[in-house]
Amino acid sequence: MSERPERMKRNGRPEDPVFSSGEKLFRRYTQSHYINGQFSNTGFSFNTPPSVNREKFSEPADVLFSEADEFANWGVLSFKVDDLTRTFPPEAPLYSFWPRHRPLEDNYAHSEVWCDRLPATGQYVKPSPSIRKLLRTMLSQRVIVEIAAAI
Amino acid sequence: MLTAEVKKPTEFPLLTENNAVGGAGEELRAKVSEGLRDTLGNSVFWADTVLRSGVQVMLHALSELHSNWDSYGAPAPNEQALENAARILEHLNAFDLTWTRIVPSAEGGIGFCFTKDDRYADIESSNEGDIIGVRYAGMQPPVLIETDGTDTGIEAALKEIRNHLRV
Repeated sequence: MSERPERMKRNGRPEDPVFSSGEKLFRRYTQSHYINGQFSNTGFSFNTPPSVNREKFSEPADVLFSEADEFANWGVLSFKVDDLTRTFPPEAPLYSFWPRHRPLEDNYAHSEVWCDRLPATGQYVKPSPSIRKLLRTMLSQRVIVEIAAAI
Repeated sequence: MLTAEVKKPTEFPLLTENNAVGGAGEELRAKVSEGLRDTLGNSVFWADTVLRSGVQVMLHALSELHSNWDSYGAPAPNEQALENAARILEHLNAFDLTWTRIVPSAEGGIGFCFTKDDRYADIESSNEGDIIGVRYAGMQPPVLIETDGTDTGIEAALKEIRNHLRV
């Protein structure tokens, strides 16, 4: 059984709401959504806030950590905070997007990409299918492979 | 009452060089294989059939996915998504079949993805019953491909994708 890196443990640390625009957000993936060098937007979902790990408190490989090694051979991709459009659609904004630090006891870097309607409701709002499709696509165009998936 | 005799499938022994028909047998096997490859390669019908069968196998595999297949809680494709995916498959021609890759959608559903050089397009059949797609080249802004879910709408979406990939 693998041992969890110390940096992943929360150890009473508070939420940190400050994200720099260049901070990377990490996510697991498998080869199935990498098609001829392009990551398909079908690998992203905005049904609920997408989970990521923030670079400020983690290494890319942390999203592959599991005591049971269940993510062996998975890959890690990243996108930057700046890659998240702040409001959308640009011509008549209906939604706003931002990263939110949501630390877990065993994964302090855990964060989510949040969406709210404009004006704000304070809740996660699931965008319409067409807005989700465009957002997922714009994000997929910007991802970078940090660790290449072997499966 | 008729009774059918169950026959064992014919088994062809391995033809080795040192038996009586080994060399001739191997030559025949190679000739037949080559002929079959030529038939498949030169026939639009057979090429289409082989590609379509491959896509059907992929669709079947996706129908057996369990939820959380992406480890982030993605739902498995449901009946609605599979039915619409089968409808999309009916509209794919040999060109589409050559370029398509079928993947599960993290939002729940099935995506038919097409790539050629830096061009990407897809049409996605969602668990909610929507059929929606997108296309782009490189880092250009993506263009939504909306459908009303009808066969005419699916055909129009695929036509847009073909035009996008052929440019």
